[in-house]
Amino acid sequence: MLGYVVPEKAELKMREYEVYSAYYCGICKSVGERHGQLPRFTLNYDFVFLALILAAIDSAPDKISSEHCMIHHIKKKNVLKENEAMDYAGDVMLILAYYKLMDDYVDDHSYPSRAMAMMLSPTIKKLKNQHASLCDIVESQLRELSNLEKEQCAELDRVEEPFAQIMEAIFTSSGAADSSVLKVLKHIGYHLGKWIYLMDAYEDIEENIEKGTYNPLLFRFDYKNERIEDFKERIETIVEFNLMHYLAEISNAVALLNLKKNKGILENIVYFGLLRKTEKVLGKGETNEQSI
Amino acid sequence: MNNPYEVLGVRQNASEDEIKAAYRELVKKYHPDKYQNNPLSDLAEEKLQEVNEAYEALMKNQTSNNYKAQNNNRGANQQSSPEYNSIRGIIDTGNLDFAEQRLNQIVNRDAEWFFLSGMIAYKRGWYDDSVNKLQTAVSMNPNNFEYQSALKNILNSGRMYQNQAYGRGYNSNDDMMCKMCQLYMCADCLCDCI
Repeated sequence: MLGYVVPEKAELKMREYEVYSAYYCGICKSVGERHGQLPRFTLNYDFVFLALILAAIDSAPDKISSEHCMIHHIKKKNVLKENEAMDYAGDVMLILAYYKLMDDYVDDHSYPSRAMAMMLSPTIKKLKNQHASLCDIVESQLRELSNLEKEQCAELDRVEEPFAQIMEAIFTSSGAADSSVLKVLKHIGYHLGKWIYLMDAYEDIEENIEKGTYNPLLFRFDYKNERIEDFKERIETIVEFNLMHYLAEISNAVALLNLKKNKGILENIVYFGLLRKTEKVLGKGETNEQSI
Repeated sequence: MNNPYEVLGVRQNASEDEIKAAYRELVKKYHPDKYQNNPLSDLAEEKLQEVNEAYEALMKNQTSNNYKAQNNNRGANQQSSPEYNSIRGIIDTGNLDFAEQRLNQIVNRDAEWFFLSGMIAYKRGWYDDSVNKLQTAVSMNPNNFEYQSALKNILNSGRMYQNQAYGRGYNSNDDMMCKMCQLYMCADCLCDCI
């Protein structure tokens, strides 16, 4: 499944894992019920984190019921119901997926991308009414990103900025909360955007070299056709510094939220899951076979 | 004020030691060093104040040993030009665009220029950019303690995060002792042999 923002499964209490799964299945079901079956292919772990954190600001308990799943026919699954944060997370997941696909089509003339975007198109028309300014931000920032990539931008922060702005907008547009909570959510969204973009860039180094496509790290660190392992070793210290700094900002911000529920799951993701994923992508640290 | 027991996360009849331990943990959590130059620093300061008030309320009979959030106001640098000092003031108010505008008008880019440019970048969230500029500042003026200290703090926050993760138990199950205990307990459960 898509997504970098995952928990460390082995360290979740069984009860916490059940709740996490309920949120995950909940988003899938919510999208299915409100927008039809096709858009469910966009399901992404990052938005489970969004749902969890937005819902955690509210003290209302999670409503979880046992239901059948299209994919896993045999056992019933725990599914979160009637949860605004979850519905919102599903909506923005679709919005981001749609505009990303459209971008892929426009930039690379990728027909599979166009086909998938077309499938989402009627849903997005509906969502544009409720989330007009968010859709504008996503669309314009992805355009900006595309321009920076075409210009072969060699400044890491500059090329990360559009996606950081997108995630910042996503985290602050749910209509929740008072201004100090929004300030914290803004900080989390912004740094999560930077982290996801940089993680993705680092993972794509090989593919981009092979295909001759843009990768910010190749320009930032002046790739001179050396062996990939040597390049990665050369850039590792600085990339690691940036990734860890983003995680420091995210964790410090989450510490300032008054989490009314699911604190254990969120802290697991922030202190274990994100760290584990970072180390894994950088190719260092212990592997934990039970991670998602 | 919120319920002081709730704020400190202790039960109603907690002992003085429990209260003190909880207080220390929270001070560490909201310590201003973690939120230096951070847009959330005022929120962290509020939380710290709330914690201090709660602690004071519960320890009414003791002389309070509170941690007071230090005012992180760098203030005017004596050796710096008036223009630079004015820009520092603008940075402190959070008006980064304006500070950057004023800075870009300066033609002579010395160490102080790169330091202030780096601090603006840092407050925007541009850490790679910030470190590059601060390193330039340090190389241009290696004796300046302010520049070195700022750079060191920034480079350290990733380490502080990782220490927190380890403190909470990250990788704690890879310890040899842990593995042996697990094997022992599994063997016992399987065949009741111990």
